[in-house]
This record gives sequence, structure tokens and C-alpha cells, in this order.
Amino acid sequence: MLSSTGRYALLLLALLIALFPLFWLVRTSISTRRIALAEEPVWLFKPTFDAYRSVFESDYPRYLMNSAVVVTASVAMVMILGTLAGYSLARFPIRGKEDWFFYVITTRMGPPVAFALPFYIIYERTDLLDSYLGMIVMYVVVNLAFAVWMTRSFFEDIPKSQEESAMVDGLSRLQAFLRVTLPQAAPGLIATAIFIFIIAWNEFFYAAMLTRDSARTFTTALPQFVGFSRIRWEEMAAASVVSVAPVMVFAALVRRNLVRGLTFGAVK
Amino acid sequence: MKVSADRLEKSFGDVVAVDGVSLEVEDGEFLVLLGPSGCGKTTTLRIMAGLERADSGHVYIGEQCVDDLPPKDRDIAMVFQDYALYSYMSIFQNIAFPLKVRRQLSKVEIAERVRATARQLEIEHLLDRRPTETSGGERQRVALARAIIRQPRAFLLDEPLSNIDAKLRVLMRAELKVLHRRLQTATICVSHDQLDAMTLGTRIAIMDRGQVRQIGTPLETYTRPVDLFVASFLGMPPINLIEAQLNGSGGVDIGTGLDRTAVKLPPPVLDAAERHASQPDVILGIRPEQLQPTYHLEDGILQGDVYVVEPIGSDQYAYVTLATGERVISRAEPRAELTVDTRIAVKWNLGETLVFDKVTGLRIAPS
Repeated sequence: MLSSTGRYALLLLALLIALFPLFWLVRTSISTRRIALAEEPVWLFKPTFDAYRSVFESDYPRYLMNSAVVVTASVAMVMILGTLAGYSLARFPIRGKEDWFFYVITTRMGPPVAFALPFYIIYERTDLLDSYLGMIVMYVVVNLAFAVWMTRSFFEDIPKSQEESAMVDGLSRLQAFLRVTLPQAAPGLIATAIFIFIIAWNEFFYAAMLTRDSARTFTTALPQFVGFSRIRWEEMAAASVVSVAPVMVFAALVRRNLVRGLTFGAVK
Repeated sequence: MKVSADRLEKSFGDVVAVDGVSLEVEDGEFLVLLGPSGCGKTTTLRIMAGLERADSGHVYIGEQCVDDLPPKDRDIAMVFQDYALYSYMSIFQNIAFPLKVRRQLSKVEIAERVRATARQLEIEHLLDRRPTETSGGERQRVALARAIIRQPRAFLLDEPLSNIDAKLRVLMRAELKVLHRRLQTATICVSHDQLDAMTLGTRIAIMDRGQVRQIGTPLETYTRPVDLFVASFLGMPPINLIEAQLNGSGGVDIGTGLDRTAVKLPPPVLDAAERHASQPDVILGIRPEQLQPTYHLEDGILQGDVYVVEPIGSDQYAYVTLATGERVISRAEPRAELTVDTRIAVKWNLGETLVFDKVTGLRIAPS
């Protein structure tokens, strides 16, 4: 339909539109206060890392660390629980299986606002507010449905005969799962883990509701750059770049797995 | 080692998959479980492998009852319909897997065995490849290599030839036979293809709706089927079934009204029919190769019109609508000149006629 150059041109355009905000972010992070606030955008200027310096000297790194701990722990938990649940749903004849599955999915269907207050009350009574454990549990609850759903479909794509063959060859069911099924499901599982990581990493609402300061994640720390007299754009940009960078690097590293996992079932 | 099943029963919810199946396979035997889809043959095989648990009944390997043993402890090998090769391992690693997992041999010994087995199946040149880089026939040989390398007590094969194209299938059938003759291990094979069963099996067990209808050698089941189901299932083109009535004067009557024709049956066939049939209505079974169309109308027993001619090179089949109304398939000389919509007479090898009781469907055997 479109010529080769036409297609490339379109792709380039889409790429430019998608990447422009990121570019602007980085540009703002290395600009001075004057340039950041300028009415007419200045394109060429001498970059400065002052913004980064002040971000690192503030409390921000601590919030970043909180995010890292909470998100990594919850992703690990979710993947362990979700993978085992997904495998069971894919393989075993459980009575009322589809009902259980639907029930798990519904946990993701409600709006966060509806759950916020009940959770707040529970957390307050059980002393989980503003704690690592509280946030980890919250993120597990939020992401489990997605993990179960995704892992189930990846396991269903692997024929049962793979494990059965391994079982006849000399492995128990658990060993067959670990040595034969998991390696083959790995791309899909990695893709799921990355998705969940990104969801949890960017999560704002529950973080805002259930943390104060000691377990505060970076998402709710960013608004702190809205100052009394002005919005500290260049610092907010620097903080954002620092927060976005780990995810981007991570995704770039596992890029091949990510694509493979996303298209796993697509080509038969 | 002898493998046997004793009155296995298995249901999935309301569906009865296996309904009292008993069978026995000795070393040197190749038993084919044959039947249409849903007859319970694969479920039976899986119960014997230990992948399903029977609701009742027992599985024995040798004298040992293995009901409570998981598949890995039964010392059997299974080849699955889709071969179940591990896609992320090389062919070498696939074949070595059963040995590696048992940890009884050193790496060097395993490598030796893998090469020897691969050589036996002529796949040595594939050892460094991945399963995705091999053809269907090659994959099947890898699956077989993986099964035989352990020298198990029995082999279970699930539709081994289903995923192969017709030409390769003929070659693989022969190879399987040679392999079996060499190894002499008791083998149970599941198939829905009666030709595979006839060519591979030393014995065939024909199953229908969870039950074994007949177990016998290919020739036995072909020439002396126990009932209409077995008679119709074996043989390609399928057996001709003609409704008839014992006429009390040395034969049967076929057809109705003005076209009613009497056919004399030879003594053994007639004796059996007259003695055992519960009522005069019977069904005659006659295989296509026992009927021959001829333009010499006086040579045939019944007349009819040809409506389809199938010249397949080595054979020629003529589909005939008899004057009495039935449609039959007859086998003509390969080079005979047959034309559609012409009148022929059917020569009938009456001694080979099978008689079935119309009500029960069972064959009435001459004594």
C-alpha cells in the first residue's frame, strides 16, 4: 500500500512524536533555571548538571530506593505466586476452575478508588501504613490477577506432552515443570515480569494513600518539586530521568525476550 | 517383559472412556490398539503409562502391579503423537535426556550410547541441530531414539505415524517393524489407521466406545471379524454389507419385489447361517476383492450398473449399483476397461461370504 520510503517516513514520524516528550525531559533536566522557565524555547545552550546535583543531595534518592525495594520484592512475590497459579490453571482439572479464574480476574476490575478507603482502614488498624510490607502486599494484590492471567496462557501454549514425556523419561511432575516447562515459558514469564514491574514502578494512587514518608516511593515524591514560589522544573526533570532510566535500561537489556514473550502465541 | 491390563475402567465426568479393557502383550509382540476417535485407545495407553489413573482395574508390568507407580518408575518409554521433543535442547541433549536424568551413567558413557543409538536410527548427522531444524520424519526418529536408549521393559507409542505424509509413512512403517524385530521389546501402539494396524501389529485389539471388540492377528481379525463393527473397520475399501433373508431353499434372497434374487450359499456358510441365525434376516459381508465385475453377464451372480470407476494403477475398483438396489464395491483387473453407466455382472466368491446376525451384529461362524 505504502512504498518503502513512505513506510519509513511514517515510522520516523511516529517515533519522533513518541520520543519527543522524553527528549524534552532530558533537555529540561540539563538546563538552567532560566532556560527551563523561558517562554520561548531555547534549543541550543550549554548543559549543566546542577539539577541532578541538587536532586541527589535531597531526600529523593531515598524515595527511589524505597521504590526499588518495594517494586522488586512485589514483582518477585507476584511472579512466584502467579506462575504457580497459572500453571495449575493451565494443567490440572480443578473443580470450578474457570470460576476461580474469573474471580481472580475481577480483583483487577474495580477502580482503585473503591478499594483505597477499605485498605487504608485495614492498614491503619494493622499498623501497615507507610511500611515496606504494606506496600509490597498492596502491589502483590494489585498485580496478581494479571500475572495469573498471562502465565496461564503461556503455559497453555506449551503442549502437555512435554511434561508427560519428561515424566516418563524419569522426572517427577515438579521436576518436569522446573526443567522442561519453565525454560520454555521463560520468554513469556520475563515479559510478564517486565510489564508488572513497569505497572508497579509507576504506581501513584496507592502509594499516595498508603505511605507518608518512610516508605514513600518516588512517584509521590515528584510532586514535591512543585515549590512554594515556583515549580522546580529542571529538578523535577532530573528526578524523572533518574527514575525512568532503570526501567529503560532493563527493558533494553531484555528486549529480545520481551518481543518473543509478547508474540509467543502469535505465530503458529 | 509382559505388559498387561486387567479390566481397566475410566470415566471423565459422565463420559465413559474405558469400559472394562483387558489385554496382554509379551516380549516380541507388537499390539496395536485400533479404533475410531473417542474409542478409549489413547486413554488406555495413558493409563498403562501412568499418566492417568484408572477408576478401577490394574496394570501389570511383568508380575508387578504398577498401579501406584508414577510413570518414571515403571521403566517404560513412550513416544507421543507430537514427539514432544524439547525445543530448547539440541538433538543430542534430547536423546541423552532419559539417561542424564537417571544419573546412572557417566557423561562419556551417555555420549557413547547416544551416538550408537543415533547411528542405529541413521540420525547421527542431526545430533547438533535443534528440533526446529529437522523434518517430521527426522523428529520421529529422534523421539524413537530417545525411547530406545533406555532399553525399557516396554514401549508405548501414541499414533506414531499420524503426523507423517503418506509416502514417508510407508517407509517409517517398515522401519518400525525392523526396529521391533531387532529389539523384541513388548510394544503397544495406538492408531486410528487400520492400514498401520494391519501392517505393524503382530496382534490387533479393535476398540469401540471404551470396549475391546476383538483381539487377534491381523489376518484373523480381517477374515474372521467378530461383528459388523470390526468387519467394517478393517479393510480398505470397506467391506460390502448386503441385507438378505434366508429363503429355506439353500440360500438367501436379496432385494425386494420384482428384483428379488435368490443366491445359493455354499454349505459351510449356509449351515452356520441356518443353525445360528435367530431369525431369517441376516447381513452378508463380502470384501471388494471377492467381487469382480464382468461384461460376460452369464458369468456373474448378480447384475448391476457401474456408477464410479477408480483406477489406482495397481488396482481398479468399480462401484456398482446392483439390480436389487444395493451399492457394492468390487475389484476389477487393474487393466480392465470399465465404463461408467454400463451393465455388468458381479462374480462372487461365495465361500468367502461372512454372515452376520442382523439384530446383534455378531458374525455367525461356521463350525
